[in-house]
Amino acid sequence: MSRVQSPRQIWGIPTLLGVASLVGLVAALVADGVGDALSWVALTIPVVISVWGFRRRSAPTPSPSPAPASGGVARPLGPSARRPA
Amino acid sequence: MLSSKALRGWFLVHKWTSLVSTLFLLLLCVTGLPLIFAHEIDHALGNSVDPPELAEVPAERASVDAMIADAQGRYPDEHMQFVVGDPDDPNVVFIRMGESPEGSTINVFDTYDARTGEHLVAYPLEKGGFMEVMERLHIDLYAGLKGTLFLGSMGLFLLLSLVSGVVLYGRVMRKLRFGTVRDKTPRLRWLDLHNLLGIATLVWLLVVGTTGTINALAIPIFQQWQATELAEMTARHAAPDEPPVTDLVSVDTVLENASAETPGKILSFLAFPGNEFASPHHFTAFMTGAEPRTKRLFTAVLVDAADGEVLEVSSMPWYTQVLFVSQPLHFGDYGGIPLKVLWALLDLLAIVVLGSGVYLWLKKRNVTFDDWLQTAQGDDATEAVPSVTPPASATPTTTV
Repeated sequence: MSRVQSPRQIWGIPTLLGVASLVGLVAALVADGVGDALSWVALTIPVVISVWGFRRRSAPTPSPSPAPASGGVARPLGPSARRPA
Repeated sequence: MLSSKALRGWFLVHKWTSLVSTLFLLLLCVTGLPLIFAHEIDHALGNSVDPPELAEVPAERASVDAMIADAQGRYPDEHMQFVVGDPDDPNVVFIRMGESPEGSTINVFDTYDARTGEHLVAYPLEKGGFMEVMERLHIDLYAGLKGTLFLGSMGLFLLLSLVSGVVLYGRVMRKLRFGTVRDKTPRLRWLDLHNLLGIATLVWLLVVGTTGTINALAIPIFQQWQATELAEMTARHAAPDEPPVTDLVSVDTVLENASAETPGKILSFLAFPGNEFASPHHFTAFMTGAEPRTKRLFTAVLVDAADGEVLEVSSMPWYTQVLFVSQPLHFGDYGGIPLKVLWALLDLLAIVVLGSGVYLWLKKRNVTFDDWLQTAQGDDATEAVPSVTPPASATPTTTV
């Protein structure tokens, strides 16, 4: 956390997001059909990145070892999992 | 690297431009949300209708003169102001009327079928409807041009706030990976979300803010054109003191002649004699290209009100073209429903950015700038930031 990032690390993704937004804003203005579709795809990117910010974070600090694939962990079935009728 | 003093300056710019404008920007975002879907809402409410499917489409377009006569019969006390075309649907024509030929009042906005001449629907213009309230709050705060210019100036504060926000982002993110959202405290979490959402929606906000401010200048922009280019053009063809033309030529002839002079273009709107976009002696037909790229490029065609002769064809100056291009970029109405949905989502994200900004200000009003920066950057107490001076509270030790 304490390592100072290079300008490229700080500004790389924001620049790409800005370019995607610009492409999205202009494409539908200059062409129908393909232009509209390009606008939809390009402007979805900043929206998705923003929504990604609200993701649930399972681990507060990233562990150096690769995390086990989530969802693949077998969970013992408790008595409440299946109620006898 | 910015000096601590410069950074503090940017921080103050961000804080104050945001404090001045946030309340109004929130109002603009909230009222803008339904306005994005104004067309769809109007259709759902039956205020506007699509022209019916016809089993057999007439070979010739219906007479606009007949539509005007029909409208005049429905509203005998109203004056013709404009015949308006729909750039997205060649099968409809709108007739707009008011207390006088000038456009300051609008009492009638009726839709006609361009193929059959049939009257389709009258737009309900009475005050107090939900969409009308949204529109007034978004456009002029019920205060006319002053209100519009005031809201336009909020766009300038937004621009300053965005630029200063980007500078602060660069500093706060110095040690954080893109997209980091820390959960340690609600304040940190909302600071990180404010930064992430702000930087992700930055370009959209810049464009919608700038074009919003330009749209707020629409009235002065048109007044400038009317006072200069239009006044000179009409003066070349009729002395201003000539009595106004009262026996108007057929509007079908006017439209036919204007179209003949502008091949490949379609009618955006026709201003009637006496309207501020025309003169007491002339019609002005505003024609645009039919392709997406030329749709917002306007050509003004001056037509003699007495005999229908085309007198002059003039392209509109750069400052009106800037306005015409700014309109779609502010409304988001140029890429179908998916673009409108994206516009609405980006608008909601902007509301989150504005709201989190207020929250962060409320939470850290009593915190010094240096403390704020250290927390924001994620520095622990053990780690000093070289360029930031320690708080002045450190008392100098007295020499004995």
